[in-house]
Amino acid sequence: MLKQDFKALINDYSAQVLNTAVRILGDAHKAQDVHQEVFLEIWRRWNKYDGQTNWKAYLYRTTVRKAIHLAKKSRAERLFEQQPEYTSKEGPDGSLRAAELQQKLAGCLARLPKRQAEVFVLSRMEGLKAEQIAELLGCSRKTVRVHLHRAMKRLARELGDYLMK
Amino acid sequence: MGKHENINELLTAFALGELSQQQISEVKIHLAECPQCSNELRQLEALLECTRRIREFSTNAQICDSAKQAIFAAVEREKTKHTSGPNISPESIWRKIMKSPITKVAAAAVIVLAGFIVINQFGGSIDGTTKAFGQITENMKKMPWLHGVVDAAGERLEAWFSFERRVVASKRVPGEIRYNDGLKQTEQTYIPDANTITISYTTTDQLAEIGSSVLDLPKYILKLFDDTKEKIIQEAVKYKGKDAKIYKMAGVLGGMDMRVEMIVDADKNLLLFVNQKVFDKTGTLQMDANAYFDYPENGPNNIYEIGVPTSAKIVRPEKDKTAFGKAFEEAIEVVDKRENWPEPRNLAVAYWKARTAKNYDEMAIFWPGSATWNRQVIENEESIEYVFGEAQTAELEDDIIVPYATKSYYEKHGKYSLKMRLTNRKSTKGRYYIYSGN
Repeated sequence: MLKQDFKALINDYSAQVLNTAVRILGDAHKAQDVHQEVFLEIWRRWNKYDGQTNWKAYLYRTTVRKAIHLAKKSRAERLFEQQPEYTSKEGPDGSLRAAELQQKLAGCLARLPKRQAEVFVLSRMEGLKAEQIAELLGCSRKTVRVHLHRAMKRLARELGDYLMK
Repeated sequence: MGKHENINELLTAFALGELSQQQISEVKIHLAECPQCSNELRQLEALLECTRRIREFSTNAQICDSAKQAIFAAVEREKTKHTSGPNISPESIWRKIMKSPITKVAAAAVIVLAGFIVINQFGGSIDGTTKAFGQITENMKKMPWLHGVVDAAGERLEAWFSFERRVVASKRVPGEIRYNDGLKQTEQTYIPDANTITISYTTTDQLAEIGSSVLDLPKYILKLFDDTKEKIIQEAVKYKGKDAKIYKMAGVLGGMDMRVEMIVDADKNLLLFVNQKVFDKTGTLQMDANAYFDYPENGPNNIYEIGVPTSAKIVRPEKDKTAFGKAFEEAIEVVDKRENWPEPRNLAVAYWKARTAKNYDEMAIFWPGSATWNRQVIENEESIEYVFGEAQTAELEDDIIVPYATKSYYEKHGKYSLKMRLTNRKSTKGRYYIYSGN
């Protein structure tokens, strides 16, 4: 593969990767770290890709996995607190509330079974339809639906009263 | 399975709008008589509302460009086999530090501090200096204003901080000018190309963040020192005609050789100058940053005093106003309903008491709109003791001013340095509430 292809990949998908990561993590710096990890990993294995890779699907899954992993790690470290640097259509208290919820949600997502977390993020945070998720994850629409419903029930229960404040 | 269980199974589908009309009717009938399912549905709907908001977030073009540049640079390094070192790349830490105007200025001092911690932990050779150095950042925070200029990576950043007034102002050359007022909780950003000042309500108390950066960064950077063979030299020098000490330190950070020189005022133990040089493994200079610090009595009162033309157009996001206004109106209602509402001076005292106690609800009522405060920052904030003067009528409008200062400032200067402005304009009972912190 030519180096130019890798550059094109970054240009095409950087925004997708960053947006997914910032929605999960609520922190632009951490999202950039995920971005770097995702693409560096691809670069290191660049010769192994056969040109048939569905990059959109691959990047969604890898980003969600890495962002959730980082959310888990961050809970332990908390060394470098930063406020989110995303743009939001909400006002200041709305943004703050959402940012707080994001942190809680990221923590709960990290405890969900991997596939449930993936489906939930793609459906509710990325706004993808069940058909699209099924295609991305290589499973049936019914499976997507089951994972989504289970994830929602568990998250609603775990976030519980905090959501109702 | 009983009816309750059957309906309960349908709640997520109900919240997602996936049910048929008949199923919807069945669920609604059950909800009317089952508090448990009603509560569960409210939680599900709140979860969906939360994710709906999150879905609207996106990173901006600047962050996207920066992330792209970082990955291109990382790939170049991979190609030249400069990949040994810790898991966190030097670029990652540098990007974090240089990204923020705050940490960029603080970093110059803090990296040296990390070096001292390394020396201390691994059998350091300079007795007493570690403690003395730890005092430097504390001394800097106590000054009325800290003014710093950092030249790094082809950019110049000039910044002013006042821990007492809780102001951070910064001017990037070339680039934007910012004025963050922690007490008013506003941030003004001037974009030269557009000649606009964008005002936003900030949820970030940047000063508290500096405090936390100063305290946390050494720990973070400490992780990256993978060589404990640092050398440190201390010498007496003259800096701008005054007695000073120079510390020279060398260490390895993320596989890159870092040299730091720091000049400290000998009498006041305040940082005056830092030079950092970073070399890659081939000995090529990758970064050469200078930071100059001084401590003026006065600093900028507004964004115009640091170079923003008065012709700049002010942009105020409508959404922010709406959300802020809503929180404000709710607080005013409580102001009017409360029994025994405090007199102005006591109100100012009560506000700071609530803040020290981290009682956010009370804070938001004494100072309507301060629900926008960043709780996480206050959570980690050291409590500061304030003293208050007698309330007086303001020169303009019918407001009341309560002068106040940190106890340390008042004891040193014998006067108040801050003014809390109170008004009664929105209260139907004429009660005063806080609406400005200086």
